[in-house]
Parts: sequence; structure tokens; C-alpha cells
Amino acid sequence: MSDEHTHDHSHAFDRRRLFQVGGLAAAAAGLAACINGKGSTGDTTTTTSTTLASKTDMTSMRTASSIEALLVQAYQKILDANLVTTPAVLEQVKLFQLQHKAHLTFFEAATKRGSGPVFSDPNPALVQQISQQLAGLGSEHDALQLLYNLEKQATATYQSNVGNLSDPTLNQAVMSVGGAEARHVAALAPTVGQQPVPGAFASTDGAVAPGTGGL
Amino acid sequence: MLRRQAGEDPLISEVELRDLVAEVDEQHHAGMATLDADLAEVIHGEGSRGMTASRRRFLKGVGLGGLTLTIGQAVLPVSSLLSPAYGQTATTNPPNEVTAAFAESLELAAVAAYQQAAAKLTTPAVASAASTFAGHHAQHATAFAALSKGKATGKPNPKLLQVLSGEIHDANDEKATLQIAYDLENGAASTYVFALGILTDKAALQLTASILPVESQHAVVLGQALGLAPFTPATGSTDPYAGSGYVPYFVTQDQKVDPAAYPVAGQG
Repeated sequence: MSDEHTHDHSHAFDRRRLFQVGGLAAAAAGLAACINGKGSTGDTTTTTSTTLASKTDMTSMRTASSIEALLVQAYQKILDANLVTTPAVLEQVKLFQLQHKAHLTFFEAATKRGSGPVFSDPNPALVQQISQQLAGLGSEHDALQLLYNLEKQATATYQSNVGNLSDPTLNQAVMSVGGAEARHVAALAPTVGQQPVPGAFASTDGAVAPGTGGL
Repeated sequence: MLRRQAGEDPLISEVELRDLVAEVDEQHHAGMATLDADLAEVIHGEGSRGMTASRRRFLKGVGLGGLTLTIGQAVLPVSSLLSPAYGQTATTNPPNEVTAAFAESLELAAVAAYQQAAAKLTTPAVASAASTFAGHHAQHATAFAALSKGKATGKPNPKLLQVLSGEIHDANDEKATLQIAYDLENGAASTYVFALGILTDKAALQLTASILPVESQHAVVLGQALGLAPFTPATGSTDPYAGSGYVPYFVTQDQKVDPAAYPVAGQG
């Protein structure tokens, strides 16, 4: 099934890649050519304009990078403390931290793309919120519970961004990460006695508001 | 015990999965009771922003320090997930209700596929999880239909169901059947990443964003039941993010069910 699903668009990916390496003007021109040339749906028209990124978008991207930096730091502190000893769980923890590093880079790039000042540090307000808990971790369960909570918070945050961003492409960007965080949540859930899929619809409860921490 | 990789500690046992599914099922029923109110809040909370979008803008960009990931067999820069500049391009896409109707058809195909697969899911906990997931998909279908302004057909996507039915028919055992469900869930999640690039209505965007994580989590449970590793790097690749598993670095649209290739009933 997957092969069939992806086959139809393999050429589109190839064509997209052609203008991924170009500059902005070339990218815009390439996009128009790609869409007009492919013409698969017949209901797509394109115009181009140049506008600066909105302040809200930039704040959301900076907040996102600050959350990812917080996650990287929390994972590192837990790894350094050797609190997670179950081999398979430890491997997951290491993997998830690597993925958060990639997400951090991703959101830094998104901020840079919008000509905004990049924020690469852990969110100061969130650091303050978890510092006591992080310092008091005494077991693998404690550590995994904290990570589970942080992953849920990140997932909710990215979901809450959707529909509130000026650049619609960022809806995809945040949920490409949000979908990965949701998987972290589900993977960690059994280790802390939680449901991997708590319901039919994901909630934005606990989302971090853009600008939290003075960003 | 569900299948695990040799030498690995089990992260979820059959008993645990059964307990978790039971809890989920309770929540499912409780959720159904408030579904209308919840959906009303999601759907009617705020109106359209009137923005336009392009699914193709999502896949263009310029280099960003060589950070890459894999889409299908192609290694792409992470920058390809970002637009080259914010708000640079405006595109008219299919109306939101058309996309919602397509999503409804996908969800109904998933429901039907799980029903067909049930006979081949012999492990009680797996069968229970599959039943729960089918219930989730039914709720998703109802939610998308509510946004479709009458364009939803109430029928499973015919071509998708045909493909799935064939695969389920040919599946020799539970593992092969689970693999189909796993691929389906990943395909659904991928489709919603795609949909987020063409939807413009805020309610539709937010509904889609609330379903994408759930399909992703279904994939995790099924991936664990299959005994897959969370992520296995691609051998021989210089791209650190290339690989497979139920926890990829990014959820992309590479496994999407393409509306053009899988039209809703009556459009083929």
C-alpha cells in the first residue's frame, strides 16, 4: 500500500528537489513551474508575493525551539544521573534526545528563515517550573514520568499552534514535529502506567503559550 | 506476550496492553457521550482565517547546514520542510470541504479495514486494540463529515478499501495483518501532514491537528505489537535521520494517501 501511495508523487519530489537548492527567487519561480507543470488537480492557481514573517510566527518558532532545548537538557540530565537502567527504555531515551536535537535545529532554522532572532536555550520559565522536580528525581519511574509530561506538553503546544500561524506552511512544520512527539508520548506511556492512545482526539491541554518565558 | 525484539526488555506486555485498551475503551465510550459538544467546540469555535496555502510550499526551501532526513528513498534537507520565506506564496487549493470529505472516506476505509482484519487478529489484546482504533477512526469520520458541508459520502474510500481488502485477504497471519494496519496508520498520519498544507479553514486545521497525533500513536502501539524497533537507521546512509520505525525523526507526507489517486466514492 505504501509503495502505491508514494509512487504517484515521486516525480513531484524529484522536481521539488530541483529548486530546493536554489535561492528564494528561484524557489518561487520553480514552485510556480512545478505546480503549473504538474497540473494534477486542475484547481490550483498560484500567485507570489513577498512578506516578512509575522511576529506571532516568530514567537511561536522561538518558543518551540526553547521547548526542544528544554527537552534536550532534561533528557541529558536524566542520562547523566543514570536513572534509566532498563536497556530497551534507555535506548529509547537516547533516541528521543537525538530527535529533540534535530527538532531544535529544525525550529532554529524556521526562525532563521523568517529573519527572526534564533532562540536556542531552554525556555527559562519552563526550566524554573521543572528545576525542583528535575533535582529531586530518585528513580527510573520518576525520570520517565517527567519526560512523559514534557513530551505531552510539547505535543499539545505544537497542536495548539495550528491555525494560529500566519504562514500556513508552518502548520505542517509544527505537526511534523508534533506527530513525532506524540509518538514519544505513546512509547513512554506504558513505562509510567499511562494509556498510549488516551482518546480519539488529541488535546491541547497543557500547551505552552507562544512567548512564554519572555521570548 | 507480544512479540518483542530478541534481547530487549518488553515495554508493553499483552496484559498491560489489554488493561490499557480497557481503560481507553472506557474513555472512548465516555468520549462518545460528549462527542457532539466537543466537536461543536472544535468545529464552530472559530471561523476561517481566509488564508491560502500550498502543499508544495511545504517541500521547498534552501539549504540549512546539511541537516537532512529521508522521505521515501530520497534524502532531503530538513529545510525542505520549511517554506523559503514566510508568506512568500499564495495558492488556491481544493475547498476545505472537499478535503474533509476525502478525510472522511479515508477514515471509513480504515474502519472497514479493521473490521475485515478482525478475523485474523487472534491475540486478544491485539484484537481489542484494533477494535478500539476502529472506534477512533469512526469518530474521526464523523468529525470530518461535520466539516464537509454535505460533501461527505458516508462511504469508505473505494480504491483505498479495495487495496486494503486485497492486502488483508492475502495476509497469512496476524503479524502480516498487523503490518497492514501499521502501514495504514502511518499513511493516515502522513495524509494529515499533507492536509495541513492544503486546508485553510481554522476549524478544519485544528481538527486535523487533533487527529494526526492519534493516528501516530496508533502506529506506535501497532509497531510495538509487531516487535519493531522504534527507529532503525538506514544502513549505508550518511543521513543520520534516514531509517525506519514507529518513531521517526519527523512525520512527513511521504506515505500519504493521495486524494488524486484515491478519489472519494462517486468521483472516480
